[in-house]
Amino acid sequence: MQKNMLGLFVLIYFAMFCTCNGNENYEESLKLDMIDPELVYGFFNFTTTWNYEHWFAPRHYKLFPRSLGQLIQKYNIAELHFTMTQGLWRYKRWGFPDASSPTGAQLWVWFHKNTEDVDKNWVGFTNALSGLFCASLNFINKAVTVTPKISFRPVGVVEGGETDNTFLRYGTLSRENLCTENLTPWMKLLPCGSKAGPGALLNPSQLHHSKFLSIGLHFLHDCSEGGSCERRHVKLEQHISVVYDLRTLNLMPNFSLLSLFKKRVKPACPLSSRSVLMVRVIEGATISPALTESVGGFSVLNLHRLKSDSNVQVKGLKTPGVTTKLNHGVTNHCYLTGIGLEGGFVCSIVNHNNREIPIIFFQVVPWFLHTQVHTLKVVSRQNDIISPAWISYTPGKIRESPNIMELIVRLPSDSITELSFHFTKGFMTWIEHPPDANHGFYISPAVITTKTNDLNISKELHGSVQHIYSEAILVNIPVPDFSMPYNVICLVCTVLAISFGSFHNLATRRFHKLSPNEVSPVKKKFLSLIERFKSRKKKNVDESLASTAEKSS
Amino acid sequence: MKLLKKLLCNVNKVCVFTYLAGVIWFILLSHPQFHARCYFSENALSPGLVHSQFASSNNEIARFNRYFTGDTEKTQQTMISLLQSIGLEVHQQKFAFREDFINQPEEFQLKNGTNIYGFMRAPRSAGTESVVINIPLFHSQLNYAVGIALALAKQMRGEMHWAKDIVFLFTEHDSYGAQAWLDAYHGTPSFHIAADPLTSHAGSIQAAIVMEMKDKSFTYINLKLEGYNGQLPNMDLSNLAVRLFKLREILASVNYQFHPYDPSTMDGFKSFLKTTLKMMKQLSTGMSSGNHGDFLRYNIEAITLEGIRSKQHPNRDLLALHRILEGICRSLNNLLERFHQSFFFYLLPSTERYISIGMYMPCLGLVLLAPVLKALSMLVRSEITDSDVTEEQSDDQKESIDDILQDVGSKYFEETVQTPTTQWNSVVQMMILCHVAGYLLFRSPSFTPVWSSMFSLTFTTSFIFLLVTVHLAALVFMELHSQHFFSFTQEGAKNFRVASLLHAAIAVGVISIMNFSLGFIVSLFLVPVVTFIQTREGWLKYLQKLSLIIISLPLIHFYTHHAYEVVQIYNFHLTNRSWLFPAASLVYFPMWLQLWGITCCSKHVEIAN
Repeated sequence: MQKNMLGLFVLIYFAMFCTCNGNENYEESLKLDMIDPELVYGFFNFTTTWNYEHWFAPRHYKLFPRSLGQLIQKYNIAELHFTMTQGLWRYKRWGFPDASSPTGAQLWVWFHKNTEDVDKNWVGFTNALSGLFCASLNFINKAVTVTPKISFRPVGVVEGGETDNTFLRYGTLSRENLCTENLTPWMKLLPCGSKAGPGALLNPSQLHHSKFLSIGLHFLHDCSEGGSCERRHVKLEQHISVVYDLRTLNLMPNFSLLSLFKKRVKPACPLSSRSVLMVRVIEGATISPALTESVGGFSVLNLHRLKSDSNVQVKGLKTPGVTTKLNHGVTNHCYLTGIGLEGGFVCSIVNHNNREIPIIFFQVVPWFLHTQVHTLKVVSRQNDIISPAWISYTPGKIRESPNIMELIVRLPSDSITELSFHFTKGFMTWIEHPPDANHGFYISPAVITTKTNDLNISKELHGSVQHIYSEAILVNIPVPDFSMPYNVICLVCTVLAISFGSFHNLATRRFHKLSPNEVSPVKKKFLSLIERFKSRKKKNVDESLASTAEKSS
Repeated sequence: MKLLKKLLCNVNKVCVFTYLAGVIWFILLSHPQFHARCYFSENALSPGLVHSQFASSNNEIARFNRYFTGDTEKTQQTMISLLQSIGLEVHQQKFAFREDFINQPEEFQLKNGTNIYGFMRAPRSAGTESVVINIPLFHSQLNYAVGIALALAKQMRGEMHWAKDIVFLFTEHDSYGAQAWLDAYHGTPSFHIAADPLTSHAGSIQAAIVMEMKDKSFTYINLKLEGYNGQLPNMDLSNLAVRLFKLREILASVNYQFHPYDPSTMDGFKSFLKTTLKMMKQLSTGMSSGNHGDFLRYNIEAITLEGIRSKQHPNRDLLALHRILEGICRSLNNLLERFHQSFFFYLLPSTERYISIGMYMPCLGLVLLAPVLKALSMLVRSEITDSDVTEEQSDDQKESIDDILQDVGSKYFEETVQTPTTQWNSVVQMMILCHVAGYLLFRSPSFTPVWSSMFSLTFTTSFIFLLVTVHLAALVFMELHSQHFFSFTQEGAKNFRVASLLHAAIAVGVISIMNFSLGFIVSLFLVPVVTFIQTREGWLKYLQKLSLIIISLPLIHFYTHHAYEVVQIYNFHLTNRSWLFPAASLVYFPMWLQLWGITCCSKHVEIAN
């Protein structure tokens, strides 16, 4: 009997394997890397691919999450990129991440070319997605939504070969925080959830004990291998990037998976075709148990071969002296200048390469900051004015759309370039202010787009371009006083209005004494009616008399 | 109307009454019955709600402090390496500044300085907000708060709950260093400071704490709140510090004054009054009492905590202050919004009580009512006497004063607007002349080098000499001028007086809106003189002149000589920090000159008549 049961399990197991070996494929991996002796960078990658003859229109789901697939179908989406991030990736010290993302939520979507009303689909989709991820993505309204001209190109295959950016929508919410409530629905989209493989390490409370945490979801159409795009497949990539600070976690000389995630790694998800754990440590430290396989500097542990839950330890980290890992690409640091109603926005863009690099600079400025384009300056530190090769500026409309700035700038080799412009802060009506109005408003991060082959980074996802995000910027605009004086004014006005009404009534009414033998009002009214009637009749008679008198005269 | 009539008859008495009422009201405000206990408006601060971590020890603070000697340059080098080993992102900023504009006029002698700043990047945020802890490095001795800051930085670096970046800023040369850093941070350069741009930023700064510790231990902590030009930090911030001090049983003072043991006694009242007046004295100078003033100029709420040691009393060790600082940072970390609740305009009679703007503003209103009433009564009365003469013969019915009043209103309007008489012309000319004299006084310091070479004096002496000369010249000119250039009739002299009365009331009122303490103190001695000076003869005239000399600028400066040097006031004006010099030369001096003009008029009135 037991043997039979086991046989049945094996059968089911293989049956499942068969399905995913058919036209669906799922791979999972965790890459643990050390940025410096104090920072551990973990990159979880879960990729589902689905070979598809035509465009994505399934009726039956196996590995691909149905909840997402239905949305993609309903809103006619060709490509979708969604990230939610807490913290700031510090490019200058940490190098380049596997998947770059800005602080807060970012969503950009390419719709199919046969979409009738892109804006309607966009609104519908943001609302649906906010429901799916318990995030306030519905706040991506028309005052936030933009259509970048060149910064965000489709990553996958494009229908008909040519891109038309009227089908692109892009929105960011810098104020949106990444919470467990966003993480849980995200994990539910995984074929094995957090039950097996690297996914088992996803412990929400520990993930939030980090310096940087980002979840990402990318859907695109891709060419199947072989280069020719006759056969296509859809690809769903889900990432988590996390950076742990060992000093803050008090894990300095030794750390392990258990101490970082408070979970052990489990054997691979049976649905996966590849499930690996890759670890790279800084010089001098050792991994235990020793991992024999090695790929590109990483020690690899194949989770399919793992029998039971296990732990990987890293020992013998040395307390760092001063480590400054220098990025060999482009870094960007943006900040606000000025006080009062006048403000300025400055980005200092550093090119660490020893050759000229063209970049695309993209910045969305909310409508309530009135940018002055004539103050736009691109100056290198040696005070040479750089004229941008191409400028696109879309002025914002009040309460309708933001100011959009997109430029191509050629950065000189080994240079610091300062890009700056001024703005004046506008006023908002008092009902437009969000709760905690005195917190301020965010200017979404500046995006710098460079070509990948200029940078030493993985080209896994974003194809040939890479986005570098600056910090989100908090700006205070004039806030009406919502507190006491305002309340007092409201209260006083209300009291005044009420008392004024009654006082006015009293003051304008004429009082007179009623005589005791006066008739009742109803009777009096009746009498007056009769009187009036009589008088009218009399008048008529008088008039006719008068007219006859005139005639006779 | 009846009331108005009575008022017109006894206007002098009413003026005395309102003035005295204002002053008495102000004094009474210091009585516990008339001011309120401090309270928190911003609930997010919730001070003392979290337990301090006790992660540092006294030894550790002492160990950090042992690294440093009085030598600033060495201190800075050690500082950088220590901060880096703690795990902070450390930068430095070099700056050069010009301190004295009088003594170094030609050659551009710049002093050099270095600021060191380290960012404790908060794990819970993306560098959008920050709190600054500023430790000014003294040149003569060590600021023992350095050890506290380093121990705190070390502790914070190992904690998870920080949601605002903490910036540890070690500045040199008192407020010049802080200003250089803040200028560079906000991209608003000052002309007297040449500062390097900052290499990194930490979002919008929500609050700043400045620490000054001149000893290894302290008896009590003095809170310094007064910024430039009467600016004050949000009262929630000072409340927060006071509340935490109380929680840890540390004595706290404002302007070196403690909360009285028994507020209800006469001694308590005296103590309250003294503290309030001390605060007003500092505020009225327009100078900051510490580095926090520079932060306040950038709309960053800031206070200075100064440790004071006394030999007679038991002392506390630095760990106690460390915990306070940690507590303040924890509370600021909780803040969801900028400081916007509570009061920005207040006076503190003690650390735990406050007088709000709604309470103290009416006193000034009452005091300033005296010149306004006097002016209006003179206007109305002069019109009445005019109309009395003309109307009485023609119309016997208009007997009562109120009938005439109604008539006068329209008449006065017609006269002034449609046919500006020569009298008003000369009044305006006189006032313009007084203001030109004020402007000359304001600009005169730029001639200092010329004078010093002409009379071979030191720069400071020639600067003061110059100011006094302009003063005297204006006086002499006024004496001569009123006789030779203008012929004031009695009417004209009266109009001139009305104009100067109103001018004084408006000017002081405007000053008090920006800096209440300055406005109130000026009004205290100006109002009696302004209201009762008129064209008189005999010994009264000389009494008036004497009273005017008593309230002249050089003598006022002489009374408060120990507060600030004129040179310093002028320098602070040039560095755009204090408005005291412009206020004195452009507002007060012309006002005073006008009064002098009134006393001079009298002779001439006789001639005209």
